Amino acid sequence: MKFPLRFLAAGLAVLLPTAVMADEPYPQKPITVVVPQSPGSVADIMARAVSGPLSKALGQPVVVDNRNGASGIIGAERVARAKPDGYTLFVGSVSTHGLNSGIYKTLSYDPLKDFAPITQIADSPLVIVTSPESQIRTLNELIARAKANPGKLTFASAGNGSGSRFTGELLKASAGIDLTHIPYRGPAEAVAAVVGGEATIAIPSAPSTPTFIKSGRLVPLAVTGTTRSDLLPDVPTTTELGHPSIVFTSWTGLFAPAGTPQSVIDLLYTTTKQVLAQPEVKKVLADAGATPVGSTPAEFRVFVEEQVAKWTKAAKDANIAEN
Amino acid sequence: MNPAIRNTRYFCIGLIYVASGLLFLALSSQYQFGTLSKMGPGYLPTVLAILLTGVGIVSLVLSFFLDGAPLPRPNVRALVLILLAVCGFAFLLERAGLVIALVALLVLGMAASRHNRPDLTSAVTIALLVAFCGLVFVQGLGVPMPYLGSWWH
Amino acid sequence: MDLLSHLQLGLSTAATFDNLLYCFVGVTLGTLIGVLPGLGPVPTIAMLLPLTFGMSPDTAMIMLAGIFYGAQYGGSTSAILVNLPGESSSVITAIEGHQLARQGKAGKALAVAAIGSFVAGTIAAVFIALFAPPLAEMAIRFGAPEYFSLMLCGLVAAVLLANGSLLHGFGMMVLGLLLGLVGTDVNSGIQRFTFGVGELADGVGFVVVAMGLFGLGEIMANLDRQEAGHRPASQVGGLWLSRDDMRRTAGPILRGTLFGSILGILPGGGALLSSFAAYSVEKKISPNRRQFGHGALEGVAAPEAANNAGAQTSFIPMLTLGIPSNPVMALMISAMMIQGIQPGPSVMIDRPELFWGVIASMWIGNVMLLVLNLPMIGLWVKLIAVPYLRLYPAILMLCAVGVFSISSSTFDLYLMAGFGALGYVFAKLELEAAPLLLGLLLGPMMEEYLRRSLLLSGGDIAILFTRPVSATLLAVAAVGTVIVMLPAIKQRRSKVFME
Repeated sequence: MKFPLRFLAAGLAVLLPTAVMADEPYPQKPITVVVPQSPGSVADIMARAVSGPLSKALGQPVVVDNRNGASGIIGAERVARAKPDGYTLFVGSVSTHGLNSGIYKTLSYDPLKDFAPITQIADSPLVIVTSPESQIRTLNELIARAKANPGKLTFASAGNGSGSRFTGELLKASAGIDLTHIPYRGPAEAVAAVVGGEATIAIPSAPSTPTFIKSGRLVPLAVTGTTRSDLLPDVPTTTELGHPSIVFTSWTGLFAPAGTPQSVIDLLYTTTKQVLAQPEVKKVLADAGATPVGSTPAEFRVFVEEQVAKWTKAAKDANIAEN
Repeated sequence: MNPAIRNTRYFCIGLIYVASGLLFLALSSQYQFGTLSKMGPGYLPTVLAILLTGVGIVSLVLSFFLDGAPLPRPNVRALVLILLAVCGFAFLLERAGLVIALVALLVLGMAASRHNRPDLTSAVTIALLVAFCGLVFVQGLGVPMPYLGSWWH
Repeated sequence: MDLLSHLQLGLSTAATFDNLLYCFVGVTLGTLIGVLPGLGPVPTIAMLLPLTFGMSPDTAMIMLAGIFYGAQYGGSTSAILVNLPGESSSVITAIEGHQLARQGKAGKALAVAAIGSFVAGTIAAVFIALFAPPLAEMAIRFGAPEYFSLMLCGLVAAVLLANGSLLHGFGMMVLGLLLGLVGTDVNSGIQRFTFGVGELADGVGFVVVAMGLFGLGEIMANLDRQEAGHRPASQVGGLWLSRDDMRRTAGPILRGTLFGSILGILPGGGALLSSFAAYSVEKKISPNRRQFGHGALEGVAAPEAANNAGAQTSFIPMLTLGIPSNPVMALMISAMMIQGIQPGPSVMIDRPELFWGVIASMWIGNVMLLVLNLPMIGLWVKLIAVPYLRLYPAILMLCAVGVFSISSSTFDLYLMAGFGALGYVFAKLELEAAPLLLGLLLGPMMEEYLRRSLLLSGGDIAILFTRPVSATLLAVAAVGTVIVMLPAIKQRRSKVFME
């Protein structure tokens, strides 16, 4: 093994100005992948899982740059304004290309016009969980308890505009119950609040839960995907339990700034698709509870358009807004 | 200054507190105040801004009653040149590049003290510092600072 | 005994050649980025994360952990030498440490910081080994009301810190709290006081403010003194600690370790409060309390011990429950997930070699840091013996480049210049910056916990008084306030009497 500092220097030579010959094929210099979420988040793990093999395949370093904050707006805005040369990419998610359009009256970027979709990386469901101390074992017990004590039960979300907030609102609407929404700083804090007994339920992403469930600190009530999760094969989906409107998958996808040459987009799509098929990458994704997707740029564009429309409507229906 | 003010220090501090308190109070008014059970984003800022204004008023009042020494004279040269050096560096870093921005920062910074002379030692110091910065921050730690900025492209 | 076999497992994991090597690489790199202002452990670990892909999980964790506590070590060096607290934990160290440096006692201050950190690190490692699981259990029961009350205690400590007028210290704290609220509101998601500037969405950066107020402010104040004919001391005296120094600092180090070990466990700002708390307590109970503010060794020993102990115990919630207590721990979790290890309660059972290996490596890392840092003291002291005229341009450069390196934003540089001007005004008005900095750090957290408490209780403020831990903390804060107020009132009386 070489001395890491040299790795560091090499890996970070990224942003040094490197002259690019116009007629030479892409990529000529390191590529930066902006992740608008903090390290350790689902988007971050996806980006890191893909960036290593991607850089091997492309022959240039692919460096993950976390620009988290403000529901991903800071990172998204940065990429929306970046030069569309293929050297700045973006790992978007259901937040930046869906939920935010529903929450914010004015968004500093346009999820459809400012971005060129490349491919959807992965998809993972959320899980509705509670603490064993709550004595609630099933989703129906939760609903019954909430009906008996309106407004007394609480749901911990990972923030006002997070996926867990939306799912909680979908649950409230579908079951006709009243839960008090308690926003937390992030998903880990929301789970901790349920483990510690401060909130009744939380709705984290599936991959973060098995260890807590195995050790008896969390009780899973339902999975919000359309099918059961491989990580939690015994947990029913919301659809099975009669709440087909509570479907939420936390997806991540690769984007470039709008105006990036089609040849670059196509190259990135085919390479990423190959990377997603590699067994090691598959394993990392599976461990993180995500299913690799790898849709074509055209398919992905349609998907994103649907998402933006769906969550804008959901936000309106459930009256979730920047308040 | 008004002879009734016996403690200029208390008076100036009071002014700073009252001014910042009122500024935050005015800005906070655009955010929802909310109730105790559901505090809006404006609740706490408003309360704190009133508190700060209150502290400022007390300090202002005390300045008429407590004795105090006169304020030391500010060193305008140091203040202006140091701030100019930092702002100049910020302005030049991405445009002219690290080398020129650093030279500007150091020349302006050195000029802040009357005791510095534009002699050979100063020039050598600047050269050494620029080299150190490039070696440690850019090469070693990979801070994204271009040696030559956008003006050169 | 169970513990012995666990420690043996840990030591045998940590003492392999690879792990020792990467532990060394980690602490060395950590010290380097700690000494350089700006760039902290978070960006460094984020940059190195992809490299850990190819390592075994325990090696990766040991190296990353080394960067984290190595940076705490290094941060105090620049705080003492040139009054540049590059890490939030070294703000307190700068207060007394830099005074000592100006009196030519930088060597002593650095030695106390290094030894204090080492002792604290050693005790904290044993502490973790003995009590990690029950402590994690305690931490998770710490709810919003408890956190709020704890923060309130911290604020009382902040005002207690101030050496000047109580009224003005209080004002600075409130101003700090207000500045802390700049940025995105956690509850509603709206942006407050940002004037549409994207860089402010995550708040005013702590290091930016600290470098402006302390770093630039100090340069300008020193230039003033030079004009007036004073020169900052550059004579070097007392490189090593006397027997008396050792005796004086033993108590503060142990008390600081206790504060750090306990508060460090709490996710969300606990480790940070510990150095403030340790300093405030020493300032009240030390037989040399008169020296505080003018260079008291105890005032370096206690917070340094506290922040190093706190840095280590902040691993407890992450290792035992998979809950990150600060951004560095969030990165560690990410590193584990990349390795295919699901952080959480099962890590201790499924991967004991990882858990105990990291703990054992902390102790080894602390030995390395001591060996690495003690010989450096002589060199550091020589460095600041350079005439101030030659030294300050270098400090100015470190401020500028350091702040830029945090988030590659020139906006932060303009912001630092603004706080530099403010720092100069504060210095002229003899206003202390420390309460403002603590307010800045605690402001957003306090608001979050208060609002959450009231959301949970349906607006009933009694929730803060009826929960035993919260009530106890509030009582401590109240008693603290009385203790602060009493001498101040007495003093005022005597002042009035004199007039």
